Amino acid sequence: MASVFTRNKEGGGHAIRRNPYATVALLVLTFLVWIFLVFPVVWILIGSVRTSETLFSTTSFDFTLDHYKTIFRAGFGRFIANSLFVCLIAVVISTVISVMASYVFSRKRFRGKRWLFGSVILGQMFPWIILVTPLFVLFAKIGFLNSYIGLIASYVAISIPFSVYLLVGYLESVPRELDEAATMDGCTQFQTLWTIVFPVMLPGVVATATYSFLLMWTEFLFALAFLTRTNLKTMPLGLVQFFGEQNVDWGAVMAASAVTTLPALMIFLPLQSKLAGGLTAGAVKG
Amino acid sequence: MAKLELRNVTKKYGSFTALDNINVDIAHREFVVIVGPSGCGKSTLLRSIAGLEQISAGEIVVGEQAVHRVPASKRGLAMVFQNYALYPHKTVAQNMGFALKIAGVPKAEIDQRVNEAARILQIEPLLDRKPKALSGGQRQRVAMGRAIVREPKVFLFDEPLSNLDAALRVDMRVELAKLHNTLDATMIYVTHDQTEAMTMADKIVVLRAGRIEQVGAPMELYHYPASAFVAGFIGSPRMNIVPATVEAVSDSAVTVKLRDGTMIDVPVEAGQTRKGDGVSFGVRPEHLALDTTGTSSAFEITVQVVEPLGGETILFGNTSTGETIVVKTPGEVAVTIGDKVKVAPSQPMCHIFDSDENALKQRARGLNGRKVQ
Repeated sequence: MASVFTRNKEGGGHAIRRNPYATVALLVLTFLVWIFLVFPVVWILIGSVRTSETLFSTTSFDFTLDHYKTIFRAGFGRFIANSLFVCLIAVVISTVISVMASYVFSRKRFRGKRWLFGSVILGQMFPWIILVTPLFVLFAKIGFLNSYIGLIASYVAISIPFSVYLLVGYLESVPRELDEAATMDGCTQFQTLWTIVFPVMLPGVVATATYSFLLMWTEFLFALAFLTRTNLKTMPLGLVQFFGEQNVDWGAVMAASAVTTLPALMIFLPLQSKLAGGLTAGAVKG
Repeated sequence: MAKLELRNVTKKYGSFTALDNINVDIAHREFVVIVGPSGCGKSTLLRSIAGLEQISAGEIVVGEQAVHRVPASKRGLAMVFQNYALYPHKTVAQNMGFALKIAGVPKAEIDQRVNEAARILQIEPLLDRKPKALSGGQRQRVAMGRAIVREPKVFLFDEPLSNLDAALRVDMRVELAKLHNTLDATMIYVTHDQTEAMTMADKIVVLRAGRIEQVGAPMELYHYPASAFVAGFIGSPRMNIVPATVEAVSDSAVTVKLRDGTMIDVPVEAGQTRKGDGVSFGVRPEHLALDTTGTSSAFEITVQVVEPLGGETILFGNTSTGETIVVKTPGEVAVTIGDKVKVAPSQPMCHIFDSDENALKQRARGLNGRKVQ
């Protein structure tokens, strides 16, 4: 593609102006990518309020909220509540552990650090499906099947590696002088982490927690293996019930999918917009 | 406030020696500046004093107490960091009072000490602001305020002005000197800026590759540098140092011959060198003057650059044998690029350095430098 910026010859060669063709091409490309990303979401939202008869029609549109009534009558609200309960607890535990682990990896020098950090990251490379059988056997023995303890422990375990990786990277942008100033001020290491460094790394923590939450929110495999009682099932398992053996209630699937996105958006969008960047402003030179 | 002693302080990182057997005595109320080029170990030395680095050997004594095994916060020291290191989520008042809060000082006393420090630093209107709402100079003051409220025995400054613009740096330099007098405090200040060192210090410690090159008062280092390194580091523009040969030695002076054949008598004590020795001849730019009278020690340079600064003019030129010579003359001079001019050194202000870069001892001019091993 042609360069968006070209030298302005009349301007002595230093001023730059936009190449209009390249700009238009860039806009068209951006629009195509945007359509590609947004279309499925829009289609789900529109599909969730269309009657089953006109769901796949390209010529007619009949508005209805029946699909939403159907999913909540079928107990989908319970699944959402279960998922929220499991995911929020797991995110809090995972985040607390990840913050402390990443601080140690970022700030401390100790023998075997590289090896240990590598082994943590290796956990992220491990296919979860391999873990299901041994965990199932283990949880069956210690009574964690049909218990949120087992599921939360699994979720914490799968989210920690990447969370630690992200937070170690983020901590590199937090000036070490802050830790040292806190040390001079008399803080213990624990106080330094939680009263000084944690507030500064909050945008990174929110980003990491969002990642962990979405990972757990949509997790299906462990939930399917460890939860069999209907009243304990989480949202992804609840979504499956609309896929029958003979037919699929697409309207309900779309309504459930639309509802599924709401809690995540409601929890993290306000946080993200409030916290994204800017917290370290003023800490050091600038 | 208290005196501070460094006894044989050594810091090693594996096989690398960052600080090698450092010995310095810092008196109560003294303002000591540690200078040296990047990587010489000056910040490591300050951090070791602060307790942010553990020394490998030696002792650090504050007052009468050896503190090198004492945690940083218990040493009775306060540090101002190069990058300020203000807590961005706390207000100015909270930043300044944080150490006292951690120490369990009652809130009323914290408020009183924070307000007093703010008054001294004239930052009272800023107490409720967050650091991001402050200018660079204001942040610097808050960082100092954070140190002041702790009422430390010794203040440590790690290049605190290096992030400020030139004008503000001059202002803050003056402020710091005033603060030193106001607080009657012992201060240790690290910088790579020799101007800061010269203008603020009671005593300068010049570090080079983890070793002390020279310790002394600013004028002592200026007039009697112990080595070519110190001579080049102290003074701006830096001292002209060119190769020479000892041509004659008498009781009152050593005569050196520059590569262009110019003979110059330098008043150093006898017995330090012999005829024929290869040495370096040093003279500061401000001790060279344009010569129109045919002085025998004058030598010719071809002017390459002229920097008129109003009150003075700095000439950069080359000798006939290619050495660069800098001349600082008062006022304006009618010299242009390409001109050949004669410059004459003020002989009592000249220096000779032996082949190991050590200065030959000058004949007494009042002060006397010393080389510390």
